Amino acid sequence: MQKALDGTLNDSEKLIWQSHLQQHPEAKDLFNEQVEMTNLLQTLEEVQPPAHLPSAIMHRIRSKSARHHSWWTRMAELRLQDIFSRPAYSFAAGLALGLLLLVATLQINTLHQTDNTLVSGTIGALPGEHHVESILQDNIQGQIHWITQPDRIEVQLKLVPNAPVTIQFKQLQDNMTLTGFRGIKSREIQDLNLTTDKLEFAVVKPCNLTLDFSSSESGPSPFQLQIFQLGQLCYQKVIE
Amino acid sequence: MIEEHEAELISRCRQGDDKAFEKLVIKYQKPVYNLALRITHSSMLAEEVTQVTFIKVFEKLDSYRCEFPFFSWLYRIAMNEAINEARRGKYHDKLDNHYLAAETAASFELADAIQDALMLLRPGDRALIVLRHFHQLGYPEIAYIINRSESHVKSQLFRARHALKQIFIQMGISNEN
Repeated sequence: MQKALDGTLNDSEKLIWQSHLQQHPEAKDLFNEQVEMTNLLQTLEEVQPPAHLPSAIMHRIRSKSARHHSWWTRMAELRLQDIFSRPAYSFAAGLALGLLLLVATLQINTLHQTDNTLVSGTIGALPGEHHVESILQDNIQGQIHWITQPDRIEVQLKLVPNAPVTIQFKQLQDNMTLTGFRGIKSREIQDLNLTTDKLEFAVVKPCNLTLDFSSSESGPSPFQLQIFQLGQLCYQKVIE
Repeated sequence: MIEEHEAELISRCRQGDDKAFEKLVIKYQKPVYNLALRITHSSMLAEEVTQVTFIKVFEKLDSYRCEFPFFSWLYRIAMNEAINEARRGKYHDKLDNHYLAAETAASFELADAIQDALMLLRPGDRALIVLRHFHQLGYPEIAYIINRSESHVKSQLFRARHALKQIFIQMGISNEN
């Protein structure tokens, strides 16, 4: 029956098969059922995937690769035996360690002579300029935290919408590139649309997203964050 | 087993050339998306499955053995992802309501009805039907993708089509629709 369904019977097999079907009506019913299913299933047509799909895939891959190949990761992957296997490396590592200890000692001595208020503002702070703003609207609550560095801006966006919202990042000058988008889960965001000057997506559930924008020229330039609900603008912020 | 051009692209990908990988994504995103869509019946999940599939392919490309067609290996990853996603989902609850509504809707589209009937099959059987009748794959390829014998594929396909016929009867679907 399988060969008959696949249309791979030769002439003599076809004759045998026809005769079998005439003698066994139950086999004929079963065969017709399989043919009917096959024909019905052929009516399903191919669906066009969303236009942004390849760029979204490459985005996630490049973001992962960038994180994987960061200098910190590469340092973490280095094995001590690789470093100390050669005398020159051993000497360089020892020298670097010595210098580090010297600088640390000098720094500690300097801190002891420094005003306490100045020390509390420096120690423990992450690099870059930090900004935090709460989003407290009737229909959407959350927080935006962005860190401006000489060559990039990192935006952490925590949102708790009570209904789907559309988020839009739009460049005010044309020199920023989205290089990372973390925290995306399939059930949190949808309708992702990325163009050269705009990133837009819908959020349907509470989310915690981190976006990295890198500057292609001298220093980061500002961009605008807008949050819409049912087409109405409900929050707006210039990030710079 | 694989086209020369494709072999070259894969070799470049293994050397870290993401532009080469982008070409593979563009070439295969449509069949992978459609496979995921037929198994999950959700455009959002299909999109996520497609993305995760290609990320896994990129990460595991070193483990791909060229004696098997690249698309079979890709489909194997996509199918497993889609089946897992379909099992995690709660489609059946949604479908039951849809089905009840459909009974009273005269304009119920045949393609939608077939897709809904497919969703009542077990995810593994659904994947078999999709690979054979939607993607037109041969038994050897399907056997490789699902990691079973060809005879298993044939007998399971026969059972899956029979089960689908029973669902079609319940839903009142036939060629005349």
